[in-house]
Amino acid sequence: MAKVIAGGIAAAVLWMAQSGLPEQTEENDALATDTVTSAIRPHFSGWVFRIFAASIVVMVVISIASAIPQWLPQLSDAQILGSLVLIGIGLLQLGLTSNPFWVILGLLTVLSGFEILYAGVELSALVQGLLSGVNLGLGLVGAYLILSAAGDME
Amino acid sequence: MSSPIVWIIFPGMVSVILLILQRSKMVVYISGTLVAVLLGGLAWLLPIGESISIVSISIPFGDTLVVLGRRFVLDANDRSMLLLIYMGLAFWLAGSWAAQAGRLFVPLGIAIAGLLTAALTVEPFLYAALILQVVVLVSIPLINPPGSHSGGGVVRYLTYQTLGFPFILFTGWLISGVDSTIPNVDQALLAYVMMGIGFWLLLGIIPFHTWIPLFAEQSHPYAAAFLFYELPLAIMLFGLGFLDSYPWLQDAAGLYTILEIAGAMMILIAGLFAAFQTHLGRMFGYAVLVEIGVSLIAVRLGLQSGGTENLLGLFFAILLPRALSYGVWALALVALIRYTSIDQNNLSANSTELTFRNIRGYGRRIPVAAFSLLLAHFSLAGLPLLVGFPVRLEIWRGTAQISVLLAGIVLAGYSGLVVGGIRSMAAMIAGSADNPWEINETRIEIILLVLGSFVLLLMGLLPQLFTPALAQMADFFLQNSP
Repeated sequence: MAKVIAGGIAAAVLWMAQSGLPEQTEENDALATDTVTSAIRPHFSGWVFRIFAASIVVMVVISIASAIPQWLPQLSDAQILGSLVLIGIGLLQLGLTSNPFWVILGLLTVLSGFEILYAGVELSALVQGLLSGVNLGLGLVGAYLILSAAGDME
Repeated sequence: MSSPIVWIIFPGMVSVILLILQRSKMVVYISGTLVAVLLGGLAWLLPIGESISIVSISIPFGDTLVVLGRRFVLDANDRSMLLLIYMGLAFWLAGSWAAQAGRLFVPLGIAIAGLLTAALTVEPFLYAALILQVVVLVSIPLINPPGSHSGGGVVRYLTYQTLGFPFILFTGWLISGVDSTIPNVDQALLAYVMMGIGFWLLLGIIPFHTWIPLFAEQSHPYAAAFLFYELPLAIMLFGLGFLDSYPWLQDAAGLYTILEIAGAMMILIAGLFAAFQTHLGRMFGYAVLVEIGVSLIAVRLGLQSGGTENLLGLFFAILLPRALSYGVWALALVALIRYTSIDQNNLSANSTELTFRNIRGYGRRIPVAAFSLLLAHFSLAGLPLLVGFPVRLEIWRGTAQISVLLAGIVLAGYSGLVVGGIRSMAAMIAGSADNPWEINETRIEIILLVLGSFVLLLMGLLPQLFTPALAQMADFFLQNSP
């Protein structure tokens, strides 16, 4: 439950920061820096590329997932597959953008994948709570970077 | 009363109070610096684990604090670590006023010192990875103050550090159940791989180094230098503690080879990039990479030495020259940026302006900053008579005893850093000889830079003043080593 609340707050903070930015118009495009508003809405070819790349990630994950139980027998197949897909997609996301908003989403995706793996092996409630705190911190830092890049922090 | 309350809880409280008072810049600066000096002094004076007698009252001064079932243990053996952290903090805070490092520098600097202390003392130590991640999150407003544009370096820094900590967490889980005994082969192999990837990411070892030069180019030089000093130091101390807790980790045949190759490649590649660099900020970033590389080599020498000749002392002996050189270099860069904004009539000038083209002839217009910058650069490059030379000479000697080829690679990297320094010098003294000499630095810049340069020279001439004391700190680490 704590994880849901922390994740919800992180998402809300990020959404508020991102929605507080000026609309992306042609005029704003001319003024926008590369890290603030560009690359938020990719072209059609960009979507095709992303779907194609994500498919490759999923195929790679399916091919390596069967090897994981020999290292971590505590985990079920669903946990392994779900976590590796999240980690793979998150890493793909991180490799495709330098926009703070999307980078933070990528990091949160990777961490959520890791948390699924880790929850299966480490049962300490304190560790899980601290991991939720890290998610929340990432959301706040992401909002800070988004607003800072837009010059709204003064 | 216990030691973690003094060196973890108290700095945290001071940090919050100073954050509230941040509008009173001078108050925050003076009180923050005094608190850092006080905590460093207490680390020297207080008898940890014994009783403190005040008049006729005896107060027990324990070494353990329990929080939610987890222990923070700061015993007498940690005294040197506390001195490193808090005297280092006092050094950086003292220069922050002249460096105009921002309102958040002092409160967040103190918070980071407290968190680093917590990370290095928490048990079970897997929590350290989480605390180090909190340090990274707290450091973002420090290096990217409100209102400044977040460059790609900050985002990459956050990315690599966040990707690194799950690996350390996982390693901690893998080996926490086995204490000091040797686990089965599969488990050991997985632990090595996880630990290797984790530290590779956290320390910015090639190819995960790209954030460091970018960060040095885009961020405030002084805040960047502070982080470049504190974070790798804490991560390496954490890594040494890791190896000390589980001696079987040191038995892997590949560990030494990996440390050698990683260190030598860092020095070589960073040195080569420095030789061709045309931006003073990025040049500093490459010097930082060389420093991380030489630290890895020093750890490798120390792990294998043991016995009477504990070469791990080299890792600690290099810290003071590094802090001095980073501090002087960063202050000089700040002076250069300030003068660039005047010279180009650009009030928003930042570190991205420090290209060789923009600083042509600055050696005659801000000679104190230019000369100090070159001294700091050549000190990190290991030129004789400067503070960096004696320890590096020992490291080069130790490296040559392992492999002549390795020593050749390391020296080639250092040669690149020297070439970078010569090119910086050439850029700064370029221009007509008819141009008059001027001094355009502020008074506080002149005082601090002259003092720093003097210390760089003096300690280079008299290394026996500081090297033995710093090298002795190694005795408190790797107590379980063979």
